[in-house]
Amino acid sequence: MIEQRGKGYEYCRPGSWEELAAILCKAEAGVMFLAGGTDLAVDLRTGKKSCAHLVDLKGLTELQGIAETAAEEGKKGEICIGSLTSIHQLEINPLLQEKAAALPEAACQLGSRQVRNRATLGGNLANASPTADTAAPLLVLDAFLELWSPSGSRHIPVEDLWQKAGKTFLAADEIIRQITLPLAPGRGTAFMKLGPRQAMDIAIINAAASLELEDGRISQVRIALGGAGERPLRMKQAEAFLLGKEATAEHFAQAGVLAAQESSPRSSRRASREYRLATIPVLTERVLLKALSRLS
Amino acid sequence: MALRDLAVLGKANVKKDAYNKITGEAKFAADLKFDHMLYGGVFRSTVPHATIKRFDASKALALPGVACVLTSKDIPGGNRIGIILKDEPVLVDDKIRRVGDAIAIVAAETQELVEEALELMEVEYDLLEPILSYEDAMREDSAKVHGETNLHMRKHLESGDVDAAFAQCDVIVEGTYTTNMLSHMFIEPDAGVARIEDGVITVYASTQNAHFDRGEVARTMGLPNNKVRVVQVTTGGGFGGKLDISVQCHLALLANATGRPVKMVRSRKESTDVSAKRHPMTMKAKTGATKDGKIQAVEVFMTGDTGAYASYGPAVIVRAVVHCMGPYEVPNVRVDADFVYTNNPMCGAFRGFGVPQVSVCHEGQMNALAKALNMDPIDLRILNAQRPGTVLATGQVLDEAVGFIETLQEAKKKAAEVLDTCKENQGVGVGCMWYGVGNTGLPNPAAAFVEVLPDASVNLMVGCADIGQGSSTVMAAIAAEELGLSYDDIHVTSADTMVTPEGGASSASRQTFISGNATRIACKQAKETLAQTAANFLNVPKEDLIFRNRMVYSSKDPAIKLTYPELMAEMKKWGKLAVGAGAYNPKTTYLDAKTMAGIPYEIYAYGTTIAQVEVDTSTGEVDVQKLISAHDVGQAVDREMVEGQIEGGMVMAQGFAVFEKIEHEKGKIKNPIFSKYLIPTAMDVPEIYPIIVECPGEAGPFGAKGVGEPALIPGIPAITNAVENALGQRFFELPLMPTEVMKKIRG
Ligand SMILES: Cc1cc2nc3c(=O)[nH]c(=O)nc-3n(C[C@H](O)[C@H](O)[C@H](O)COP(=O)(O)OP(=O)(O)OC[C@H]3O[C@@H](n4cnc5c(N)ncnc54)[C@H](O)[C@@H]3O)c2cc1C
Repeated sequence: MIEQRGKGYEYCRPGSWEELAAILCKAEAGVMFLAGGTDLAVDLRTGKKSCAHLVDLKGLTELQGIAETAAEEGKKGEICIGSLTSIHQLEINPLLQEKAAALPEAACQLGSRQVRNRATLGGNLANASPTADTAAPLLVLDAFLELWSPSGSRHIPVEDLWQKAGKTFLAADEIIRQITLPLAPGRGTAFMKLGPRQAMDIAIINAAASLELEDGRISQVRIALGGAGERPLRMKQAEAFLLGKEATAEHFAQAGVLAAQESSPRSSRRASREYRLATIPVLTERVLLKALSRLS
Repeated sequence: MALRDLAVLGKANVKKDAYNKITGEAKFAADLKFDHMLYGGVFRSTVPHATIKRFDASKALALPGVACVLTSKDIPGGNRIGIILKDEPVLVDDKIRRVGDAIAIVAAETQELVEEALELMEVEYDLLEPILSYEDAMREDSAKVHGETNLHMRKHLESGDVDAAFAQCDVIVEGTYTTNMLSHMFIEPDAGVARIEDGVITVYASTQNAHFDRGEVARTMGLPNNKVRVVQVTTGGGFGGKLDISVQCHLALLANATGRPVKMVRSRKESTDVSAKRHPMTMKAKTGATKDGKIQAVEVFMTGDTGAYASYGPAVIVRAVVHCMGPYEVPNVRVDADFVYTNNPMCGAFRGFGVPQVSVCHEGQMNALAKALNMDPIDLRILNAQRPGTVLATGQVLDEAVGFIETLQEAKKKAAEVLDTCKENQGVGVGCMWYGVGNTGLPNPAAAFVEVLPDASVNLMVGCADIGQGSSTVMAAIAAEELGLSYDDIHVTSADTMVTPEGGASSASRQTFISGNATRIACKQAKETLAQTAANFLNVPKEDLIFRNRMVYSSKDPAIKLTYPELMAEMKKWGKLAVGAGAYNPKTTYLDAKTMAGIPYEIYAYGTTIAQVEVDTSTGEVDVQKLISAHDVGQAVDREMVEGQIEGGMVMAQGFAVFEKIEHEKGKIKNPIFSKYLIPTAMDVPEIYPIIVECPGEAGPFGAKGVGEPALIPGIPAITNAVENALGQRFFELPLMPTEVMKKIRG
């Protein structure tokens, strides 16, 4: 275990779950977990965040990796992703590209190559930005999370992670250990991002969709948006509207209008509430069309 | 004019700074280290306009490791700096005029201690009314930023009879254009180190003008110029933002007070907060033409906010006025311009000195005029283009080196080849520019020293700062061409005030022209001695000798020759040294105070960009797809470097047109960092087709003009006009952010 002093905090890097548990039980308050540091290191430097103990999770090497569990009798297949898996690993993973395209599609649009080499999936989720690029894909992929704390572990659907911008429901001593994606073979998924710049830009709005058809009609649909509210959101009215309908551009456009109705975006430096409301239908329609095109 | 037969120029050489930068060996100011070095920092105001009621640094001074805290009282010499007007305090004495004014400076053992010390300093202000807009500034009863009036400068240019001409026009178009405050975002934040040795203060700095810095440091320290040495270290870009004093004077004060070397490296935020910005400008224009498209009259009224200090403001206003009718023959012109002081961030030089701003105006007018006349935009421009013999609004008559029409023709030819047939919401736009090379109506000389060494290698010393644009490469090529040596024979030492002569600023696209001419003159002088020696040896008249490719031979009989090493051996034998000193000052005149008549520049560069864009009308996003840009550079000294300038300029134009804007509130910049001030990334760069047009005259070295700023300018209006043409809507304010475009589309 490495120990060091940083500006105003103590840094440590546990190498095992026992060590981590011991640190968390001893530390009274002010614990923060460090993954890639692409959000946290910046926030600690600018003083936006501060902590007494900085616990680096990178010593827990088993938190990295992507693996598939094949389908068995009565159990769907799934892909398990360790929370410290880098965004770049998501981007280049053939398994994800084939079975959960929306996620690598989002990953390759996050930040720059240098950022993606360091940034992790767990960090992107725990940072709780309403426009975190991996959030909408995980919502439409029905992802669930395994959380761990010294008192045990629990599973939650990814949508139960976020309270509001910058705030999760994680307990102070709780980390995200693993992200699980149940596999659905007949599904097409897609991700899109709206922002003025082609790289290194936080989205004004991002959107993901997942679609399945049966006899030409929509038998399963998920739509999720970032930047449409205080946290990444599923657009359940739009989904309900589409279920059972034909997958046409017209229906997708109508779903987009519904999505705008169930959104409550805020005005920020990047874009006004009005601009977001005007573009939500556009992005929703386009991402649905893209998901449809992925259904072969 | 006959094509020049050149041995070195017009090809591509490996840039002099390439190897060190690629291997990482190049040392930037932040990389410098000296024994016992301290670190320095600046305590800055957080309010835009105030007097200081109380300043207390006692807690900071009590911190172990803090070497000193200095305020205005500790300045041994003068406490006013500024490129043109000396209106900025080194450290605040009378009052605070902007957010970020320097109140005190500190030196300490580590950077961390510097930051801690800054946090321990206390200040109390008596607030004054902040002046935050042109309207505020011009109110009779408003608080004054400096002296008795906030009107920083007022300029008037008049030629012909404008009112009578408008009365005769068949078509008149009008528009009011606004451009915003912009930031250079040079990649290396300002930094430097100062140290004292043998009674000389040496400042190593990231700068565009070492010799100017020397004068400012000397005055601040109360020292003669030759007791201050400023060395420009490897500099990561400037674009005009490193022409003002940044860390130099503060470093000298701290090194002087402590007797130890002191280093300062600004954070990105500090750098953006206090370095000069591009002037936001509003331009109200009226253009009149006959029904066959001949422009008869142009009238412009422009206002600009120079912020708290003048910086290069006086140069921007004058240049903007002289250029605002565009590269056209306009017989009747009237321009009025007002620049004001406010308590906003300081504005100064930024690639183009006001010409990018006015290009948005004159090219917006041309686009509107072409539509009103139902004329092809290129034909309209060719019809009105400046050409050899054109009489400018200043009364200057242009010589033969005017390649504007060629840039229009070449760009049009390329457009036919590479542009797509426009679909709905796609558009093509034309943008043009002209740019007077060098400072406006002012002397701005530069000099060079040269010595050809016994082995025929060369030491060339120029004051000109190479900030990445490649001036040292250019000077080496010019010297090699003139001396008849190869590019690799020339070693360039630049911008070190103890070694090199005055070079003036690396700004105004002037160095290729001015330092280039100085270099050539110095080489000619050295060549005099070489030629005399060679003539004696070969027994031919020295006028017949040709120096080329490391040989000297007779133009009458190339078999009569000697190699350069042989020549240098001859020189040694007779005790001759091949040295030269050259200086060049462009042939300009001061401009008339009332009408601005005169000769503002010796030569002009021209450019035409054609842009293709596609607008996503559902999201307002502008996709800049293709940019063709043709530039009359007189003579390309190095083709690849010219193309590089054009490509870089086009990307900056894209940033200007669609992304960039400094947002400020109550004098405070809200987006001083890269995550909030968006510039184009490699992923945004469109297809760029650079075209080099060469229309050399006699003025520049081998006919070369400047291209540094011209490379940026025409791209901005070309993109804007392309968006206008795609949507059939006029845009009067930049940048064309998706939110703004959407508002226009939705009405
Ligand atoms: C230049 C730049 C560009 C960027 N561009 C984008 C972009 O385009 N899109 C985008 O979405 N984001 C972007 N980001 C933000 C950032 O890179 C991502 O959010 C990244 O995924 C964060 O991961 P990290 O591993 O670096 O997290 P860290 O910074 O290490 O941590 C972030 C937060 O999550 C917590 N945390 C981390 N891991 C865990 C865990 N396993 N369990 C519990 N809590 C945890 C930390 O305590 C901290 O609060 C950008 C950042 C930068 C610097």
